[in-house]
Amino acid sequence: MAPTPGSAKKARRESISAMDECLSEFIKRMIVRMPLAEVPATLKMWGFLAEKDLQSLTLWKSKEGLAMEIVNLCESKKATIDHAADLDIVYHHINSKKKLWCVYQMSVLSDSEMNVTDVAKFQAIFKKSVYSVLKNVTINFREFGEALWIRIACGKDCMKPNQYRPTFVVYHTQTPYAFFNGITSAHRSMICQGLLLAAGYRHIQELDLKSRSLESMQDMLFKKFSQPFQSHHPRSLPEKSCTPAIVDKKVSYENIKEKERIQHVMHETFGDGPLPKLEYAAYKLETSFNGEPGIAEKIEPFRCLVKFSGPHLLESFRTLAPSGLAEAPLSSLLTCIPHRGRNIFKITEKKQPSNSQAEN
Amino acid sequence: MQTPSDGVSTPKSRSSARRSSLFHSSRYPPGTLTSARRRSACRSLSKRKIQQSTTLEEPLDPAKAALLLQKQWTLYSVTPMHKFTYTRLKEYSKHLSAHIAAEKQKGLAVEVGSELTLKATFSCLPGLKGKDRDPLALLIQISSKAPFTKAGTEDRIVWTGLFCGTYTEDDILDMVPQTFTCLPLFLYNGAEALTAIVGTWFQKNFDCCFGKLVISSHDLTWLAVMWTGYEVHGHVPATELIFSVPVEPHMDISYTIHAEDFKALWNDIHKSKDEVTVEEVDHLFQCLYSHFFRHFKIHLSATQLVKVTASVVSAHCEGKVKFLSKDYLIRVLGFITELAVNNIQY
Repeated sequence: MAPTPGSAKKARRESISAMDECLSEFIKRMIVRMPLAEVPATLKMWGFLAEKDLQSLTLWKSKEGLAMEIVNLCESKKATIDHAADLDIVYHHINSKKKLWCVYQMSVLSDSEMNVTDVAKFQAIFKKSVYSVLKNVTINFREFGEALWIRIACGKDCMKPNQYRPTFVVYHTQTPYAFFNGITSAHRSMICQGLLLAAGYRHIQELDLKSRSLESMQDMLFKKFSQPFQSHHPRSLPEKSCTPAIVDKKVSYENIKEKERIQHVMHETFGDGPLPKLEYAAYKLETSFNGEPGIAEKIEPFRCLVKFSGPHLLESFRTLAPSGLAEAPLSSLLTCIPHRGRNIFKITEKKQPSNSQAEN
Repeated sequence: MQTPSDGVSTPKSRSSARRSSLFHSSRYPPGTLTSARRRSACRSLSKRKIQQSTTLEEPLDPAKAALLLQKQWTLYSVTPMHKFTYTRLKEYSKHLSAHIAAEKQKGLAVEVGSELTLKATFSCLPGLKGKDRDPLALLIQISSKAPFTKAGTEDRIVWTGLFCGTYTEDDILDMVPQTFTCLPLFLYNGAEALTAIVGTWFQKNFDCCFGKLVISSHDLTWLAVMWTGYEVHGHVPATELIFSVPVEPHMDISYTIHAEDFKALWNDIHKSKDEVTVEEVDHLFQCLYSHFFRHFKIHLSATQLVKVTASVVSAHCEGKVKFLSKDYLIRVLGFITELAVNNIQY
């Protein structure tokens, strides 16, 4: 499906004969990309092939052979690009953690009488809006519970839509949030405009939050997780954390007191429950250096970029102070992430409140 | 970040343990170099000279330099080689090619592609000398040729190895007996299986032994300080420090400092133009750590510095480097040669 240069006319004329070959190749490559064990579940969720066809496929041991067989089945069932795009959505839904997602928030409801829960209407308006800007584009939708997945494949200039570099938008119809992956700057305004019209909002802006986990982003933005952050009333600690498993007699009373204090503070900050999963947090610091006299006095501000990365950052933060790697309580720069729903910050000194973001 | 000594014996760690054991034993008389090495090690730990670029007879050819830039190199230290002569490079090329073919017959290097003919070529790289007395650097390239390609098609280089001793201390060179050639630093880029074959061949023929060269966190701090603030391709890139934080689940912290600000901070700390002292290096890092602590309440001093990307070189504690600038290549090689000399256990 690699787009070939040429006029739109030419592309359209060729599409009748070349379409099938491109489509077969696209489906084949999708199957080859999947882990073999995932293929049956993905195809089942896709729902295009019949149950008996799926059963016959389990015999295949090599992915190439399996892919060819699936392509043959699709050809006999006259699959179209829409079916293939649907399979791509299912694949990306299952493997959403392989992508880095950013999030946009819409605000200010427009006057229109739009019922945002009407998904069919949403789809129609979105399509119309995008097609009014760009002709060589395919748009596909699929609902997973409350989440509406939108797949948009655009073609450059007069070329056919590039199915290998689609943009995904995951929109939760009851909320003002839409999650984006694979958005290019060339198509950003077109897609945002379509979303605003279809969802009935006037403004849209990107939030300072990026993650591989859609669920964690949703938990933070929709405030679904238990949030001990605002608690100002010290609660009694659970029994287990008060008595360390091994009590070393040599450890002084002061040490035990300090350990208890740290545990107490960390409990206050993060609670006991599971934390949203984030792999990444970035801080652009433009603050004064505050070094010793004579050192770096002229550097104002001191510019640096600090990035934290790991499989589950907030869990790592939780163990920093008990491991002696950080002071308790932790810096609010770290602890504010879940309740502020952002993981990208620019930190400047407080004295310029106009552009200061977070030195809180 | 797993090392064979971590306990879990994965197939990979087993094979690398086997390989490193192949690199052991040497005829090199024990103790000969110890005193010289100790002296230079002590000196290098408290302060280091800033090498001024010297004009040598043979400057580094840009095409040769391009071979070294932007590639990831894995580092080893090598004990002096017995009866190695620069006049027999052609013979060595043939001999090593035959050795590789023989090893492939045994099935040791299937992963490299068994249907391809591999050819080893030895050559000299005079441009890598830091000073006139330095030993001549030795380049080994292994190229592959598919069986039925047309004549005239360029062979593809699949493996590159480099032996050098840039800015090797004169004390060390004086100590080495005439029959030995001292090229303490070995770098390679390519398949590990080929490295093992080349390593055993050198060990067998010149009775030298190879040791994995890791770069300590402290040496990485030196590297960050000494190689920051230089212009590369018209701009001065920022310095990135990566710390590994020993918490569960694991976390890394990347701390990137704007080049100008890093340099300004260093200029306030650094006194002499000719040398850098350990106190200055530690002081700079103390400053960076306390700036970090003021914002995040995290003690970076309790974490491990694992990677540094300075303007002209990037280096990982596991003994991997990338050279980013031709102009500073020789001086960076000099620094790493010094680490290699200190790593050799006689």
